[in-house]
Amino acid sequence: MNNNGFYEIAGLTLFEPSNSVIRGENGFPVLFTKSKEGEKRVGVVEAKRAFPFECENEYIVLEDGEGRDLGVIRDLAARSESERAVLGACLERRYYMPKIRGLYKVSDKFGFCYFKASTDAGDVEFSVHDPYKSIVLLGRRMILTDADGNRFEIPDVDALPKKDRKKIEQFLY
Amino acid sequence: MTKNEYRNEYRFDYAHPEAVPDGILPALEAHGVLPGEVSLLVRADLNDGFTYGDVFVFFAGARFCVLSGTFADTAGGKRYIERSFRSFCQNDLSGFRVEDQASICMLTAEEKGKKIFVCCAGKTLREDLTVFAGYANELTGKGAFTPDPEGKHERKELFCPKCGLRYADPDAKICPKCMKRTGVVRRTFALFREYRARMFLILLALIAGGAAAVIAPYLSGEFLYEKVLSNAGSPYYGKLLFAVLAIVATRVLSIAVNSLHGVLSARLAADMEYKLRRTIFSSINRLSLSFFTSRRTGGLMTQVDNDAETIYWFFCDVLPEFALYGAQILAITVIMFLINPILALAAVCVLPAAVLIAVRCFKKMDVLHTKRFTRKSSLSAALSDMLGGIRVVKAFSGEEREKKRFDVKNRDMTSADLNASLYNARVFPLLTLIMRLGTVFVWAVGGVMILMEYRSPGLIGESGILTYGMLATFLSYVSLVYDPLFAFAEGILMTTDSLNAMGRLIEIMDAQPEVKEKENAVDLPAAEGRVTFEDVGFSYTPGVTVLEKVGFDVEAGKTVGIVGRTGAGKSTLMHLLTRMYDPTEGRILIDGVDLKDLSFGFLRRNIAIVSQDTYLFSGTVMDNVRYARPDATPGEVMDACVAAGANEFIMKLRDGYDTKIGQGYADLSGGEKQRLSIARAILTDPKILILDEATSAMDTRTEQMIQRSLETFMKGRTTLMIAHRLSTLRIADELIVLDKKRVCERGTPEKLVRDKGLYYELYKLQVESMKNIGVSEED
Repeated sequence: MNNNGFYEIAGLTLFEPSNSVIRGENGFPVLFTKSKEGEKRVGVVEAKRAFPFECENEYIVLEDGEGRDLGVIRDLAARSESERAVLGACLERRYYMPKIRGLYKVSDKFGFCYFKASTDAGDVEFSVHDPYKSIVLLGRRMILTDADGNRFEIPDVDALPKKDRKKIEQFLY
Repeated sequence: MTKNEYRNEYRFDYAHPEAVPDGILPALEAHGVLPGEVSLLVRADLNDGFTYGDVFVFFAGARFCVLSGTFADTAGGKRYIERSFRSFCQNDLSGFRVEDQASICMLTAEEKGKKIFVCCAGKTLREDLTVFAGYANELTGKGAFTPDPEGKHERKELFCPKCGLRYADPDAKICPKCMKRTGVVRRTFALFREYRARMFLILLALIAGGAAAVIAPYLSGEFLYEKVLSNAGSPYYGKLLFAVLAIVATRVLSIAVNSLHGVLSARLAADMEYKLRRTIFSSINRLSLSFFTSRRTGGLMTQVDNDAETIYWFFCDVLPEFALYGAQILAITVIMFLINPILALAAVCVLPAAVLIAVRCFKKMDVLHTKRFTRKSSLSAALSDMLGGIRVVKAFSGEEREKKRFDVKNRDMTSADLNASLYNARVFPLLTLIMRLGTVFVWAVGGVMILMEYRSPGLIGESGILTYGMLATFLSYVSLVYDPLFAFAEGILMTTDSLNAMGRLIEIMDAQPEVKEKENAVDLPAAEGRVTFEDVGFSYTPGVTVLEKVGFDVEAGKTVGIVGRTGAGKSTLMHLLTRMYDPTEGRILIDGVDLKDLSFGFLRRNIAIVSQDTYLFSGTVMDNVRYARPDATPGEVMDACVAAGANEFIMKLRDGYDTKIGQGYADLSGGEKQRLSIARAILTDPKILILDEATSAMDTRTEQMIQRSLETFMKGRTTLMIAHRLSTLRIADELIVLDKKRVCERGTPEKLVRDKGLYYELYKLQVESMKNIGVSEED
């Protein structure tokens, strides 16, 4: 089965170094398609991970300013260093989450869970509603989504100081 | 300083967006910006490099500037430490917009047509940035902007102004930190006013039982040994008989009182739990659809179930027991001091430490039990997921995988269970030992005192004289004080849970439905059915619009089809018309009257919707159809079902209209469910009928048959139809095409085909797919 055909039907291009090039413009990635006639500027694109938790540098979907999917880069490693840098910056911004280093306080009141934490971005207070839905454990990595949709991550719950880990013990299941 | 404190430092004021915080004036001055020049300013909270800070984005004179930095506490007070400053020429800028990232949001603009990065912020500030972007676009486009026209950007106060903690519900504005706990208990207690007498009786029973428990050791100890057994002569037998009778009487009283307490508690428990569940359910039930579709739904069922039990517990068990045990501990302590102060001190000295240790252990136990509870829920959820999807499991041979998945959950649950049990097994003997240390002290001190008195009488003094009987009584009292203390420690923890449950109850009772009926809502005598949308805008989440300036008018009695791609907002239009939600902008009118001015009764009587998601309750076919109009006669129900094409399959069911359907009963197909849903709508006899993909799950023959019935039913009624299958809309007088959140085309199908717009595109695609299977247009 030739899967590439499905992409074509869906109007998506599989972007390879042979048919496309990404350049930076004011820090944003701009897509150019390549053909025999030369390069053609498509425009500023937004890069998204198809599997944000599983594959950070593979299956990167590019979409245009209107939110339409243009195509997929299957592996960032196949792209040039400058392309990786501009797409990497875009992806970093899109999936940025402050990393929690320590927990000062975790309290549960009225079904809201209030966190006071130290992160790599600075100290923060946030509240999580319905903790058993908004706190997700992916292996030992914990993703917490607060009441406004801000996300925070604990890259490895086992690496937290013991006294801090105890504060979130009830979510480690 | 934490992010939360920054948040209260400067708030973007939609009506006065030119306000400049004093703290940044020196920084502005350094860049030649005069505060009076600033016309529009907003604060973001992420510096470049993703650290929390204070980024000020503003227009000043002909410049657009981005000032990054952080407020920091310095020796000279709080100061703004600048990190970077960028400025652009205002005339070169346009296209301000807020782009959502996975966890944050980003403000961008265009400089001479090229996209530029302005700043990033946490999603909490998304709304501020969105309003700012709107103003900025007006300012750069027209040279001026109108701050907050008609006050439409009314900001919800999300944080408690006193402590900065986030409200659980911004409408109710109850801060869990600042709220007085006593107030919560008082308000909840008010719900149980009718049970006061019974609660008082329970307390009396507890006190009587407690008093009997306090008297018993005295009778079987000091009284028996010192006052009866030490006497010789004739009165001896009489006193002994009296002592025995008194001991028996206190035991009988204790048993009688305990049994009375049991009966009273059981009855009160049932009544209170019933009332609480009813109160919680009716409080939830009156809230708007948005409440149920928002983050809150997860715990609703648990809330109705668990909270009722926890609250009842507090008033029926914890509170009376607190009172009783408190009094008991006090009484016993006083008695102990009266019997022998030295021994009393020996007994009491270990108590504070024992209580502290007990509270800590109970806390840990609570965490372990919560963990066990969540793992148990997770195991049940996995099991129900698996059994619910058993067809898929079998179809993809997933039995082995599911077995493994279940195994992991089962093991997790077992280990949590084991941990909790092991902790209990370890801690309880330890706790008992600590508590019993008091007894050991009393034995030791008491023994020494008796020996000293025996060897050197009068050494300790009159008050220190100790007899064996006194020591035995004393030891009974010491053991009596431990149980209440344990209960006290446990009660303290239970109180926290109960207070949280009460807080949630009050929060939900105070929550305001987003869609409210006006006090003086109008009930029009007879509806004609004219529907008007005036510049309607809507967003489910602030800032993410689904509809923008949608405007159209449907004459009474006409049939209009709504067409558009998936996600164009067609169903949202219908939600707005039925007032499941209110528009965030513009208004909707029926017969020229704003929907918000009409009573709910009028709307429910005159508008019926057949939506794409049909839901059947557990009950008979008849109950389900009659849900629309409970007073409908069997004949009317049958008429409606015949019109909806449902009669045929209903009559094939074993018990006809009395067949039980819904969860756990006869399973109906998607098309059959839709037909019952149409019957419900027909039974309502509405002036306005909404058909949202009402026949999508039916085969073409059934659909055509039902459409013929519907055509007859639709005569004289305004009908709005949504369908992806364009042939379904052939009976529409006119079509409205939605695209990019707005109405993009309108007209008869023939006109729209001629116009060659979006409708033509959709039409062509469908015709082509028909041709592919050998059906021509003429067919």
